[in-house]
Amino acid sequence: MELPILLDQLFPEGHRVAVDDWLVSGEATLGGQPVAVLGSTNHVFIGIRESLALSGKLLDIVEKRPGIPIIMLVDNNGQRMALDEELLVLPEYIAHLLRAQQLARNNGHKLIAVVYGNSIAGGFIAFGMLADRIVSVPGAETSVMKLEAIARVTKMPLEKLQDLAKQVSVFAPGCENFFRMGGLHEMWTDDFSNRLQKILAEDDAQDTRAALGNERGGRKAAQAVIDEVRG
Amino acid sequence: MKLTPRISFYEASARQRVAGILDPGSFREILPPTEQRISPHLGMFGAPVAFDDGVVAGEGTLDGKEVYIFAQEGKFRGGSLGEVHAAKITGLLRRAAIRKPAAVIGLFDSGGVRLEEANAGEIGSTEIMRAILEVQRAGVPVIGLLGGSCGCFGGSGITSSCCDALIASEEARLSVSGPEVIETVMGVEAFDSHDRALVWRTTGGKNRFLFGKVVTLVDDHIPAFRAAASALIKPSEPLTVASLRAERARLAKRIDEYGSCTDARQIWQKMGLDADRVPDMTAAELTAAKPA
Amino acid sequence: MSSPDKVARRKEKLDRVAKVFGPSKVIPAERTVEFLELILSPGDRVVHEGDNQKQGDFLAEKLAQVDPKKVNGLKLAVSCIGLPEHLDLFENGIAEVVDFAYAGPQGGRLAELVGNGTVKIGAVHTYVELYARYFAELRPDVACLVAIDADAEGNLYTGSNTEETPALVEATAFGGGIVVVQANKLTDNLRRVDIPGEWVDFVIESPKPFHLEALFTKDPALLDETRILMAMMAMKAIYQKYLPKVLNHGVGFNTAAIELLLPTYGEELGLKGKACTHWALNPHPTMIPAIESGFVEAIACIGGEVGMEDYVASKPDIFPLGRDGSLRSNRFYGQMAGHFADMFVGATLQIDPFGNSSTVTADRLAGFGGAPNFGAENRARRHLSEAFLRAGAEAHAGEYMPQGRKLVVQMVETFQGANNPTFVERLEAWDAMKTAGFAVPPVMIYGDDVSHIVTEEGVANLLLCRTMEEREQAVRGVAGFTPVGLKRDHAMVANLRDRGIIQRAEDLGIRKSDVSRDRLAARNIHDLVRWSGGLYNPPSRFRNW
Repeated sequence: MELPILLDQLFPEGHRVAVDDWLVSGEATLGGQPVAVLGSTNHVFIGIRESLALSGKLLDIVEKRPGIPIIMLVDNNGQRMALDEELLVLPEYIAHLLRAQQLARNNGHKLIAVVYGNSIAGGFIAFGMLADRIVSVPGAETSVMKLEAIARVTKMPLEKLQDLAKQVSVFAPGCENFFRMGGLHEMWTDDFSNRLQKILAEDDAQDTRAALGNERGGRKAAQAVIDEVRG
Repeated sequence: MKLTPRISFYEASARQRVAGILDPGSFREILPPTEQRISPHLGMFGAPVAFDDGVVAGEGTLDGKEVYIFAQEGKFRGGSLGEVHAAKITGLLRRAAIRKPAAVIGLFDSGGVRLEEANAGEIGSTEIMRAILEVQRAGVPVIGLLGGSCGCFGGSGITSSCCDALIASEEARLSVSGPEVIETVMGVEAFDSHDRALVWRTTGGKNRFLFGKVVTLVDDHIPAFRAAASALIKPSEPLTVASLRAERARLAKRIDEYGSCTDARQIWQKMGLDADRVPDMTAAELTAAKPA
Repeated sequence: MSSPDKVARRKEKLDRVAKVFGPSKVIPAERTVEFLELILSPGDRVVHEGDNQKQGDFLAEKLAQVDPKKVNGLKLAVSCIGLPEHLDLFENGIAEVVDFAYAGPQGGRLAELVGNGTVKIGAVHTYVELYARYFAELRPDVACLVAIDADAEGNLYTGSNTEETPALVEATAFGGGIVVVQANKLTDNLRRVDIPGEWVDFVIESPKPFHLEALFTKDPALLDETRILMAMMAMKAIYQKYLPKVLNHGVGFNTAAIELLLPTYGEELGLKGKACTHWALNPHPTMIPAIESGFVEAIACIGGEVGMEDYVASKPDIFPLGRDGSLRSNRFYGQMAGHFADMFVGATLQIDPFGNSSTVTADRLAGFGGAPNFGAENRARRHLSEAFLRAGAEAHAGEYMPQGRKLVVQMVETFQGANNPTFVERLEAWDAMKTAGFAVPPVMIYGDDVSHIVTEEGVANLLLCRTMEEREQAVRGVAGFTPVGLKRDHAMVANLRDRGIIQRAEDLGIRKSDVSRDRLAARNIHDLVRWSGGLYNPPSRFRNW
């Protein structure tokens, strides 16, 4: 889904969102209340610089707009794959971005991720998957790895994988699969603004995804194992 | 020249590592293999399963301090994160958030998400990350140990970087995309994954130590890991705007200073080290030579 | 074409070159193809220098580019068909026949090209057999050789990897042929003259250094407990029993395990000073702990090994060093040293129930290299040693004429991989014989030359077998779960075990709990560097630091 259309549909009361190259940031009004908007566009790759740009914006929000909800708009093609990025310890930069998200959560901000473009592997982890709630809108694509690549690495015939992908949700790309695994809380097709207000009203910042995966039948072992170990 | 015998962390199994890190006899495993919590997905691919799904989790003591511990088994499917594997770690961290041991110790040895369970593994890895951040919020530190034969990549690479502190040997590898993945996607010119020296000086324990993500560099010797872990047990520092601004400034400075480097040797040179010597230095030598 | 007018033809070729290039011995690299077309006549025998370590890759590449209308029908002779260009020569219609000893990396393509008639094989040789024939009926018309440094007079420094250069240059220079050399560098200051310039006709500075394979570098990290068990059984059953002083180890991981166990298990067995003191060997990095532990008195080097230069240079008593301090290897002499040694320990891809072995399979004409020489009972040996006499006493017990015997040990795991048994009822060499048109199957080591077979199931002492039937059951008795092993006669095998012809780990007093990687003197390449005091400098691809 195109970013301007998404913004208009999410925030019909108005928004002041700037796009700087790939970085989306600003504020909007929702149900008469201000919300922060932060995200990415143009299928950017999330690398060390992107991580710092996003964390800088997050820290500004936490500092200057205490407690307001943060709507995270997700569109990326994954982590930036390059030797010079890994050389400077890319996972540390992504972990820093995750810590900034946790700081916001600790300080009472609600984090809602809206996947409207691509959301792939390490990019989705860095920005989206650690939100309180994760939703998709039409046009969203989530994946860890393409089936062709899985076939290559696991040495399984592609045809067999394609066949299995029709039966189970555990490995193949696609929002439907992620939803059944509990990786997306909701899939929206319309009425975005009202749905966003409704989800913001839910008073729960717990990680409920394993339970959702169990309910929806995609991930039936995780919640039970978590409970058994947690004791 | 004779060598001092070592108890290799790199070669040991997950259970041998756990036994060597904790006080003797103190380990109590939760959901041990006898409970047979196997992957519900691997069978469909005709792949073998493990009764512990490739991760050992439990509690014990380290120098008398109560700790929780998990250890990925690199010898089972590359220590990959599958549904059950991830859930065991998440459960342990949530247990720690409630019961507040002195620390959680994570022994990482993992190529990342298990591809046969890609979605479950990826979501599971972010459940671990959230659980780490939550247990830290409760004041319990999470200490990561890196030095297994599979390295620490993908979801496990990011997960380990969420820890309060990392301990690594020079054999350790830490990155998001593994060298083979970068080579496959971007071409051999971007990263020649067969050039092992290049792989290690880029992703290896020494480079991670010189940048500070790894706080203690040890020789590949389980007692050295144990001593380092024990020394690092202290309450997790709370996240604040100021602490994250400082962390961000440190990471930004790294890009300013080294962002144009294309090889670890250039970085070490800029740090004032003898770049040719770094790979051959022992952990103690490099620790002494590391710029403040 | 070794016709009687060879000297006249040589002069004619040299005059042609002088007319185009002037009197200098130095030929510009960019004009190499043009130059080669002047010195090569159709039907010439061309020796190309290339073995399993060094390869004259620049000259091979240029040879493959000559115009087949001008140069064709060449008879190629090369120790190791190691480069694709060697076979390009045939596909391009430049060469017709090849004589060689080994074809490791190109073995598959060679089999294919022989099968479709593109390549004719003169013969598959051992290294020394091929060198010897260069002095007799395979005299080279042109030799394309390799050096590290050369000067304008043609003097060469060939250094650590001198290997076969002396044999090839001597056969050619004193056989009316033309010697052309690719050198990494042209310099006025050679650190040592390995080959005098008088024997060399032309030198070319190659754009990049010649290819050098780190063939003898085995990473101890890859040694599993099966290999350690086999190594311990071999050391107990053979090394400790016969106490071989002079020996050769093959390239594989099994012997690397033995090398790494010498300072630990070997010391326990009391081998130090009594066995394994003199070697015919490349400078194996896995030998460093044994050398540092005082096991080794001298090593005759067949070749060099990448990264071992500084370490070797620090051991002048053990390695053959020149006055300049660097190693000089010699493949011909090194092979002969191994031929006359007490013991050879090697590996193979297939063994039949009579102990015949071959690395040639249906789709790979791999050749044998040095193994048939190292691994042949030596009927020419006359000097005596404890090991030689002990083995001889077993092999020739009760015979009229007492004699010694060489120990030839094959160490193999019963399977090369899943569904790929090492022990087979019939060697695929029989099939290769048909496709390649040989009169007899290309066998690497004949069963009656083998003294012992070591597998993870045990050690078979073939010296003590008195009949073909006994030998067959001894082989089957250590062949594990392969079809050959499953067809054993259990009663006979039990009898052989009672007589000590077959020994299992428990018969040797080796418990499973004794078998551990903790016994290895070095667990990885980095440990070898530490043992060497930092002098061993392994290639990048072997590092994990």
